[in-house]
Amino acid sequence: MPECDYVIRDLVIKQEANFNMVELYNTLKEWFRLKGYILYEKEYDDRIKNNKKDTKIKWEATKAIDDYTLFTIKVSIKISNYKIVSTKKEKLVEGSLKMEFESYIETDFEEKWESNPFQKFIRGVYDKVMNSEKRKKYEKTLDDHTHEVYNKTKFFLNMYKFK
Amino acid sequence: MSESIPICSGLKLKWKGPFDMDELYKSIKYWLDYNGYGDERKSFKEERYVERSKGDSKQLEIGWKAEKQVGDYFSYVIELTYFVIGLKKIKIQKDGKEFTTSQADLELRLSAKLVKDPKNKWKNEIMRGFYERFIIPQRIEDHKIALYQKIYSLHDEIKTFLELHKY
Repeated sequence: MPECDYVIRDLVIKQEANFNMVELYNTLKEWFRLKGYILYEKEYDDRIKNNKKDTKIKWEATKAIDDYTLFTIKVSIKISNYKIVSTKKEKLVEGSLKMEFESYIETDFEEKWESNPFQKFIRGVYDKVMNSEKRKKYEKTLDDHTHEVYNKTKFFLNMYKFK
Repeated sequence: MSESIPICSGLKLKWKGPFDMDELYKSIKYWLDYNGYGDERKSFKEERYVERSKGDSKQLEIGWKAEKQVGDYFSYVIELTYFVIGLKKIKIQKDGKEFTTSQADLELRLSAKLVKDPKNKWKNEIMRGFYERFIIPQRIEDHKIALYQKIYSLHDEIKTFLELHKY
């Protein structure tokens, strides 16, 4: 199992929101596609409580930068105590929303250097000594990407506030 | 040789009064599942389940150990112990409706530790010492912080559950 180094942890959006879930999904999916990420839905959990719903969703987007480095952005969505309301144009989710974003860099994601501790050690030295400049550049890029998708989501949700 | 760093031990949560024990049990298990600690084939163990009947009430002692492998070199371990005294079913009135729930004195103890080299792969202590001290010190610190945040997020989740299910 490759090691991962977190770049962003616990970037959170919390909001009592009215929004179109399908449109949010499509917007983010499109953003990830444009940036070259592959998006997977890792988990979808739906529960009904007292005529209202609780849903938890986990998305994971990955992008191989080279044959050694992989970017991962994880988005956890928790919508609690919500119901679907219909307007003239669309169906909206009305409830409390919490979205968490985190991102990390996986190195040696193909696990070519993971077979024994000595190889792992050599790889660690390589990362530290030879690869550190490149590594900083990658961290900066992933940081920018995570903030970009976070801001995009905030913008999307705020748009619904003023609709 | 694997080595563990205690991140938090003896974090306690006490509750006295009505609460739904079954729901609490399920929601903690659900949190562990959702966060990747709940796989019963690999990482989750109910290490202890003791139930004693005393008259019309019960006493429970439950111990859980949940583990999550993070990368090849680290794993997070969360241990949770429930002590429940005087557990019995009661009926209560809320908003003109009657509910069946349970009542007890509950004490939950949480602890977390970061385990390094959980599979005991690193036999050479010098190489390992060098690796930890010069190659991955930042990664170790990051994992400590992450696990600390996780255990407190579980603690908050349980507190929220008990507050929300207050009658």
